[in-house]
Amino acid sequence: MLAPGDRRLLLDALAPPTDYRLDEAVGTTYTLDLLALLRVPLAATALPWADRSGGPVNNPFALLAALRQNAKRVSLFCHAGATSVPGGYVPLLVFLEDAVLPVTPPLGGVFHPKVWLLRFAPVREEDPVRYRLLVLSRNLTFDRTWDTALVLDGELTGRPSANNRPLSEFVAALPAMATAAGTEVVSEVQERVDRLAAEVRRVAWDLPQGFDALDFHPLGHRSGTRNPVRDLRRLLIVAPFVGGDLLAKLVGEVSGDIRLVGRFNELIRLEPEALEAFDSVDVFDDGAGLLDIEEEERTPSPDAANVELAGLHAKVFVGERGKHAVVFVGSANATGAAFRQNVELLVELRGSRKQHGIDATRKGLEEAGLLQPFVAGDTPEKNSTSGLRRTLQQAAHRLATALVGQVAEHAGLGWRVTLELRRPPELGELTAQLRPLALDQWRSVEINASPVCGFVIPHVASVSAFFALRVAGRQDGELQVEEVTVRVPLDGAPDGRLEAVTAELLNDRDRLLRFILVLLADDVDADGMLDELEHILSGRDGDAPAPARGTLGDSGIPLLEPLLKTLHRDPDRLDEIDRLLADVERAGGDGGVLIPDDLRQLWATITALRAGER
Amino acid sequence: MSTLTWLDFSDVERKRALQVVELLGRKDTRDELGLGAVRDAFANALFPGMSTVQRRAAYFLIVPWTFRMIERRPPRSGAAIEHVRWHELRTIDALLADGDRDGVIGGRVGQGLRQLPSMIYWSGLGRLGIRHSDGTREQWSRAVERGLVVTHDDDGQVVLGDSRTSWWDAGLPEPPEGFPQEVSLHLRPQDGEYVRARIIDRCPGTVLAVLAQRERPWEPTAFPWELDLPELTSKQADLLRHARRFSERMNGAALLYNHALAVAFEDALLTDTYAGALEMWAAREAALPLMELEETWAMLERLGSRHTPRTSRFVERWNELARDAGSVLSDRRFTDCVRERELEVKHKQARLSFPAARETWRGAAGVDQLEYRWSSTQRQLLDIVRAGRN
Repeated sequence: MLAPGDRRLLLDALAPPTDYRLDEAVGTTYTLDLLALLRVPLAATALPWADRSGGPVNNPFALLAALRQNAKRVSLFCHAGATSVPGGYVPLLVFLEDAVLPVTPPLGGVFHPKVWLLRFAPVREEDPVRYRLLVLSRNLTFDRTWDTALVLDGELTGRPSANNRPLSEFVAALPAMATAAGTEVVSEVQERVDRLAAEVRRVAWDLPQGFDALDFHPLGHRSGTRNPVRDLRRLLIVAPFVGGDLLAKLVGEVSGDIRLVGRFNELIRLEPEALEAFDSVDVFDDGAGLLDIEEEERTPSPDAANVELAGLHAKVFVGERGKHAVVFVGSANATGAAFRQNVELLVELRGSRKQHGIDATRKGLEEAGLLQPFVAGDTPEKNSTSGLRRTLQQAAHRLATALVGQVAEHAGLGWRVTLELRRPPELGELTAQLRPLALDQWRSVEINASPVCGFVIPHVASVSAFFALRVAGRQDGELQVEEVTVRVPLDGAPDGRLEAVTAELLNDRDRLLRFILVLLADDVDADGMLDELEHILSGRDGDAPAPARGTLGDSGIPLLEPLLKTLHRDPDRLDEIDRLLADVERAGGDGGVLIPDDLRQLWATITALRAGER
Repeated sequence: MSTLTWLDFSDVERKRALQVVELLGRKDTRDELGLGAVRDAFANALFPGMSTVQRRAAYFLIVPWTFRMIERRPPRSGAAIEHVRWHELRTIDALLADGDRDGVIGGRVGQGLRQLPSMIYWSGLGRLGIRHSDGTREQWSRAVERGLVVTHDDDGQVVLGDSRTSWWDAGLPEPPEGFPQEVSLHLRPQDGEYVRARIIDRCPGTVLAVLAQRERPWEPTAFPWELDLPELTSKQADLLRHARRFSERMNGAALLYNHALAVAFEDALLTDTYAGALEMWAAREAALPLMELEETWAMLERLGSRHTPRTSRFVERWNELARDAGSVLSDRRFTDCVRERELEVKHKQARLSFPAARETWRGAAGVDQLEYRWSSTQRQLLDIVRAGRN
């Protein structure tokens, strides 16, 4: 189990099976990188989701096409105030506003689960509805750590199954956690959750090879949940974060051998006695950065600006019960917080000892050279992150759940956004500042004033529910700052923002026409089309050869043939173009690009043909 | 298909992880002092498209043949990439049966092989233009499943001419009769010629291209500079010279590092062994001209090397100390330099600074002199040059 070469790509795991399309998706995460979420809708399309060098796609046209089609099908619940600030503002983020739902965990702690539940609708009506469940150990970020992915495929049947009930309850509990954080849960989202929670009870899951039973263990979504890692004769714990008290508890409960694989920097913080009872303690060491790795030439992506992390992040508990191996995977670290306060999801899989047991798993890692024995020092290392960091994070969470905003037109200068706090939190000595993600200027948050903060935003496409929040404090004279993105419920936000962003991106005729080609080319030439668009964006129009097949006016863009092909094969696809043209038209009223006359005529003809065909 | 696996966000991450796994087992490949970026810059300039995990040149053909075969007759059920995987595992036995077993990927682990040849060669095939579509193996699979990769004419025949849609170069030769049941690591003349032509086309002006055009095989050497290379241009010779001096100069640091650990462990035998190696290193360095680092940095910048300023400082410092290479064992500053560097790169896991980290040393760590992927490159080049002969 978990041989190092057994790997899966996230977007591949989110992609619908052949002859299915994405209908609804509900996800959860603790930390969030909005730019990672921006890529998720790509998985439901046939567009490339890796760029030339294998990194995450940066092509704004691919992202725009995917977002227009699929962003409204996604609801992502995330811990309020744990979203990072993107390196630069990306206007396309406005498409994610309705998808991001910050929550607050009911028992304190953090909202920690990393789950995706997807509903796939069949293309052929006689086929059944399919579901997919992803239970991951990684948050929705670009972190490059060793994480597990449990991917379960299932079919919607007529009969409920008892062991799906905890999963259903977990999903059903999500909206209340959002509401508690001040997030508005609109009817579409509630209906989505209701439907998925109801249907998931009736899903028959395929199990991964070598497993024959599964159980779901959500924790912390209500009071009274228990630690499921019990009644085991032997245990192997694989976790990046470990707490002495939980380890001691597990040591006391396991009758046979107990083993640990962890991160060096965390193991050295434990009291040596905590590890004495373990039969083996290993460091997970992937030698990152030190090996002769072939690096592709690539332009560094602005998103992956973080220092490349490496190392263990997977949380796996492998045990034996009777003659079976029992494997728990998911989001829970080996800490007390995971099992007492946080919201987590663990899946328990029962399987063959030979394939998935402790010995097989540990041996596999050892033989791959990933384990090094850990020798405890005499005294534990002190925790280098001060209590202040924690205080700042908690303050960020409280502010994130308390902010509300109001938008109004501002006498010809644009839009005025004012922010208030529903329940002003106690900040003590800490200070807070805000800025809209699209602007650079920070303003102080005056807790006791009304409004607490205000901005004038000149351009409608820059009005967004996403704000950067900066909380600062001093400890021992040293200043520490926590910067996060918050999603603020906005009342009175102007209509037409999505259209404005779309029109801005397609702000000349060439781009508009070629984007339409992208929408039509949901197959073979998607890569080629996107490359051409890249050329245009970087001003290298002259290089792109113009194949002269069915031109449109004198731009040399061959729109006619693909339009006719699509009209014949898949006319519903043309609805998407209808919507696009309507959006561009609406936004164009502001002085933006208007639809070229020849395209308008062509489109009128196509529309008439469609009406005729019906 | 339900699975429990490790997770990657993107293909580049996955490739890296697979390479990590491949190389971890080989303890001498660890670069303990953080010189990887410089090493990669030289290696990419000398031998693009090559990697240490590649084995035999035949895979540059066997892999695309397998994929193209599936493109032409797409499977009716199941993921195309799973069919490829099945064929790749079968190829292991077929290759072993053919006789030349040296370098058969999966020759040892057999059907349990995780890192398939297609994963190992994927980026090299792209670099040489044998694979001309960008995308991952999964994307290829999805394209095939949607019927998008080859076109069929009205009779249902595959239209080979429309190579625009196939992911593989139109010029790829047809495989021998009997493929895939019969397959060999031995290259036919047209196979060797094809790979050579791709190298010349996509990597012009590199040492790789120069060597690929040799007519006769040579006695294998440990390092590329040990070959007699009259056909190099002065620019290429310069590149090789700088790569060589860097490799030789910095090897002293790696040896001293291990020497220091041997001392810390009070291992007399290893201490002596490393001391001897260091004396030889010092003697050789004393006899060579000083290293002109300014030129080296300028060259590395042109090559787009991604080393950090800290790495440059370390190399400068070591180079400075090594002017008096004979004092490497007697002057404390040499060991201090190495210790500080390790601390900078590995923090709490720096063995020379933290006793707790020391346990992971197994007697030798990163002692091999940098060879810039020469070992796997040379082997594959010899395969190409020997194509068509025995």
